Amino acid sequence: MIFAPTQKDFSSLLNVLGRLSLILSAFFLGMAIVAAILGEQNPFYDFLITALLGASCGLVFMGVFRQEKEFSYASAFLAVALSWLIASLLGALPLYLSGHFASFLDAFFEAMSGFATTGLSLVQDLDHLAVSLNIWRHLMMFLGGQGIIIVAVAFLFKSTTALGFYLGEARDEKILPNIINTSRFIWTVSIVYFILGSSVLFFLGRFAVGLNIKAALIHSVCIFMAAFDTGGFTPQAMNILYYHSWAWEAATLVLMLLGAFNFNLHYFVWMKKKTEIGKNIETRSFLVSFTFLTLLLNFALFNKSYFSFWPLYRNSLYQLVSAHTGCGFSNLPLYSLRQWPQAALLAIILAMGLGGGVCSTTGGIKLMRLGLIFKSLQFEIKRWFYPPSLKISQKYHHLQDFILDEKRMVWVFSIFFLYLISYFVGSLVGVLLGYPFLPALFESVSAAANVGLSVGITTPSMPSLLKIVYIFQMWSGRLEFIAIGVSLLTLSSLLRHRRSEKIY
Amino acid sequence: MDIRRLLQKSAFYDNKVVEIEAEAVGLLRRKDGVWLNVSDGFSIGVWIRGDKKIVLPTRFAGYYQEGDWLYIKGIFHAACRQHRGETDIHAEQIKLIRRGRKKTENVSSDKKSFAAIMLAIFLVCAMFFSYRQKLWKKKS
Repeated sequence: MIFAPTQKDFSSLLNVLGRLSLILSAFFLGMAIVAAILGEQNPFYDFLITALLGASCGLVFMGVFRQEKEFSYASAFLAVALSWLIASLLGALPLYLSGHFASFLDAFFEAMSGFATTGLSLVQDLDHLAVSLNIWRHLMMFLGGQGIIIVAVAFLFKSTTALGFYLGEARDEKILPNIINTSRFIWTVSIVYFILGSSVLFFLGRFAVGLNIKAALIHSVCIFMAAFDTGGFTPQAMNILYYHSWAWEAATLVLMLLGAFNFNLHYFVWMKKKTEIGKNIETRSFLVSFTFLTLLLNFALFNKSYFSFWPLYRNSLYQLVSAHTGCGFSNLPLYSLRQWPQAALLAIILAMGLGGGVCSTTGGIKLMRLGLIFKSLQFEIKRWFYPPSLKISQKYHHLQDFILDEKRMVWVFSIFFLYLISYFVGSLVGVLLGYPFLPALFESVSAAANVGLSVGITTPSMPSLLKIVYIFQMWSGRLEFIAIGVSLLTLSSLLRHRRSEKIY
Repeated sequence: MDIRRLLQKSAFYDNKVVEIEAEAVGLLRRKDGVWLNVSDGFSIGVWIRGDKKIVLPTRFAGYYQEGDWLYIKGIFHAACRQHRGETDIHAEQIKLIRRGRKKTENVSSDKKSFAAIMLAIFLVCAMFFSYRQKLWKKKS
């Protein structure tokens, strides 16, 4: 059978992209109002121009191309992949117009890093950046973390169309039977946490950190968005070190962990069984990997300058949690990580590569897959240990008990190897461009797993080729490769106009 | 000395008296002193004990202004025991080199004109969309 999208699919696709462009324009308009309230004139015009450009393109697309029918998964995946590119292109425009980026490529890198909740940054002179633009950098993380498309799904589409979009954004699981209700639940959870988290950070910022009221308000909102959506941008160049407060760091640790856990787990803990936390394969995988990596890190840093209780635990554990949750916050001075021993860097690389829960805001291989790979190994050992006549099955618990099946494992190992390939290719390009292997691997994993920690390679002066590679890694890593693969196939089918047999 | 060098050679400069020149970025008041964050492209926190008679900067880096440019002399700690492992400088002396100044924000007439043109384009697109919607409704 030949899969061949038709001209009508193409029309529907562009119509959807137009709608998304229009939604994004509403956010730009909102940011223009924020800039006007703050009295920042240049950013006001930058946001206004972007809003008008986005809205004009959106209206033209919606006017010329009609949404003809329900979307196939393939077209939905292509729409998702293109939406992230369009969002990043539009999102980069006000950043570029600010003059804080050396080129449009750098601004595009920043926007992709924001939407993909990575946190690698190419901004120059961040401490002089307009407040509204700083809020926009963090808002991109919030929108990207919750899923740009989820916004649209929750409010615009029919249920059957919505599922393709939802899956395209690398969310393997539905929380509620209806996908639109699932999207709305994700946003409800996020808004409740937003109110709680920002209030705690505001209180700490005001009374523990020593910020004035306006700064406490702005920093609490920005840091919440970056922490809960495991993004990693900060309003100041000093990152989390700016606040000089362990209480602030502890609060961000909690937010990072909350953001890194599966939204389904949040739902169960909120609505059903609190004991699920202890039984869930993802929390167990996290405990095992976190314990192992903590031991490795402490062993690596033992007897170094970090040997004393506070420096060792405050700094090393903060970087480890930040890496494992895919956030990318750091309480160390810029590029201090490069002074760490190689074994410690390896521990951080492993933590970044593994990531957090599926159906969360993190990137990377994910805890569920890590757990299932171990279960699969356990199964293989049992299979060879027991007599062949004995029928063996392997169970795992994620909200309910499941039997490990081959189809699921093929999917798990496919994604696992795609991440490994991405990590390797990114580091290979880094090495070819003259960087040492370990820093190149560190930065590549940080980009592909959407973390944002850096050992100093990601700077405005790095080669353009490496910027493009990292942009691709952030984009494909956030969508977990499959959406990109399906999109490329769909796009080639669309371009070839093959219509001999249609499957919908 | 620049802050980059200080951070890169942190083990060498640990517990030694250092001198830096940097822009004031932020001030955080605590019960027993003040944290002054400074930057010369690379950033570091400077701890000023409450009993030190040091005149604090008044202008800090931001969108509207350049921060005070300061000379800072103090003891550098790669992992300060008093401050739970932070990398910092405990200030002994701070001098104002150059007062920060307000920046005037000018919006270029080109940008204003471009925004006006975009507004006109948007209105045309909105009319076009509205016309097409009516056409589709009639057809259906």
